[in-house]
Amino acid sequence: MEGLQLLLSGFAAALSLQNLLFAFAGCVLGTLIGVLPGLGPAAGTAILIPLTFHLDATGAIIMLAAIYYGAMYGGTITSVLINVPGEAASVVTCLDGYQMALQGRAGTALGIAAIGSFVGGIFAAVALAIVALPLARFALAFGPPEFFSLMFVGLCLVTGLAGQSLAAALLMTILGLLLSLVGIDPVRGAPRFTFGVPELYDGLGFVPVVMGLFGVAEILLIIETPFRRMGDIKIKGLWPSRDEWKRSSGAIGRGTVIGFLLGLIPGVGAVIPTFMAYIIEKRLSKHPERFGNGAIEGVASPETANNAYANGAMVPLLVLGVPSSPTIAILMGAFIINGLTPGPFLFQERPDLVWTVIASFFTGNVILLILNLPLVGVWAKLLKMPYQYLCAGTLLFCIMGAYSLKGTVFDVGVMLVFGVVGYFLRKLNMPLAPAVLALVLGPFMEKSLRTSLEMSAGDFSIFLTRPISATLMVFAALIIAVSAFQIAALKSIRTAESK
Amino acid sequence: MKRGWQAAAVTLLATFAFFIFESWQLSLRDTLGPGPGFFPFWLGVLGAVLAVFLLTQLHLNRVDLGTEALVFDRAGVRNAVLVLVGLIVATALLDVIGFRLSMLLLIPYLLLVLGVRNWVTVGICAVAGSFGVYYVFFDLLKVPLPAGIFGF
Repeated sequence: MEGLQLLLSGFAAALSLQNLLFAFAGCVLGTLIGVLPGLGPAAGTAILIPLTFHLDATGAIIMLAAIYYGAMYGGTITSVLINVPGEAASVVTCLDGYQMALQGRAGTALGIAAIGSFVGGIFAAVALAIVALPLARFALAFGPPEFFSLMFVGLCLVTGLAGQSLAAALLMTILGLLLSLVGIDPVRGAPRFTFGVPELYDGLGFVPVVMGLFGVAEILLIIETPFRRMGDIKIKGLWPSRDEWKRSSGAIGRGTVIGFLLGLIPGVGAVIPTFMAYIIEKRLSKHPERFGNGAIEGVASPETANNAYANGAMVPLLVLGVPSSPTIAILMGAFIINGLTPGPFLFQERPDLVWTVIASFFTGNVILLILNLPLVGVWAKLLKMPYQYLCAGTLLFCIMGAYSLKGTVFDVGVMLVFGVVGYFLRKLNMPLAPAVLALVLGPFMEKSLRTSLEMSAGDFSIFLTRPISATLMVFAALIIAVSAFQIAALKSIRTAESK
Repeated sequence: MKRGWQAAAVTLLATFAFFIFESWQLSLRDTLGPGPGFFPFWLGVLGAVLAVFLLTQLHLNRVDLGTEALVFDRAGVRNAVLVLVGLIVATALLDVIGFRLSMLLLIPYLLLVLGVRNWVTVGICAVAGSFGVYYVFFDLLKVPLPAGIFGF
């Protein structure tokens, strides 16, 4: 009941003209980012953070969250129309969405994706509103050892699911943690790894680093291999037929549940829920042979899971302060820039902000539906924009954004350096997600670790003698063990196949 | 791909060695408990061990790098390098000649490097991206941007 009252007060604030405008602007910018191939939600959110510097904290978070889920939807348009996913989570949509477009059903594919995204987003927002308060109250019992263990679990999950080599993922995690420690030591006040450069006393700016790793690196990759431009595909008949509705409704329901539940687990990322939703739909179908040939369920299910995941992933961030993907980590960075630390204490200190942001997920999803059903043709036209203008515009925005953080050229330099680093890491398929999450969690982890060790007079067993912390540590060990086993098993299967 | 991963692992090893060395100069422990060097030191050690482990695995071909080869498109890389050079120069000039003039030079440069040859479009983009953007973001949205020594 208390949660409902808080949510209603959140709605009152979220429905103010100002916050509606922020949500609208975020949805437009997010969809734009998603539509432009190459720029995913992480790059888009990072690049656009500086736009929110002069907004109040609530407005800034509403706008950035809207950019995030707007980009998640926008990626669908390129997947369907030109078979190029706007972001990783839309990869699976290409399989049937593009086939539908080739069959002259691009409108229906985009229509069902918009409806599925809306349903998934709204249901996930309802579930978020229901579970947020009880979970936050439970998390209030956490002390520094529990928080350290929780963040450790989060990093293990992201690391474990990161790619082909566990060692490489762990290396990226450690690199991110070390880079997060540059600057003045928060406990003793000693400068660390600063080389006497005053600009480094505040640490490496999170925003320039992620703008470089995602934004600049992405543009350099696009310049190296320009993407295809859209041919002339006509978009008509957005509304699905009765038969298509019948086939899509179950897929939308299942996609919602899968997306939301997987969103609760830090580290899963947006790709796994979409693939899982697709695979389950194919297994349940009486005609699995239609999948890959323009099955509408093959679009409805992953697109729903995609948006349900986007809202579900807000639960670990808001309630526990643990981001579950690079984009959510960037959102966490935006919270921190605004002087807020996501987690259970935020529900006590700033309930107005938390519930307004949660309520904005509802309004944002409605705005997104309005933007994407009638205006889909407008978005599709953007795909005809030559990549040269996209690259020049994005780089201009990156320079402006990085400079405007503190008004120094130093941050622009940091962004360029990490742009080059990100370019090489992407070329090598090295996992970036663990590094970004570690970068945002590093200072909190160090503080929790050192406070815990001060509490126990240097005894590490404090992490194993407290029940919640011990459970989390066992869980973390299991994650790493299972990931190592999976990677080894996958490698032996591939070796056997190649023989 | 294997060579690329080996180079990355060696670079990371060197980075971790630097962090270990620097952390060692800071106190690892003091009377209050762990010192400022404690966390980075042990992270550096763990990272160095993992980097050596990865190098060994790569040497023994025990890392599944997939079938994708590391490909650099020569013309594409040339363009990317030229763009990067332009960005570095524009960044260096930002505080000197200001945002508007830097962008007035950078945007046409980027578009020309990327193959745009329509001079009218290039000119419109240059003015919009420099004076236009400055007006919107500095004058209207109050985003701090450098004016430069010429004051405009």
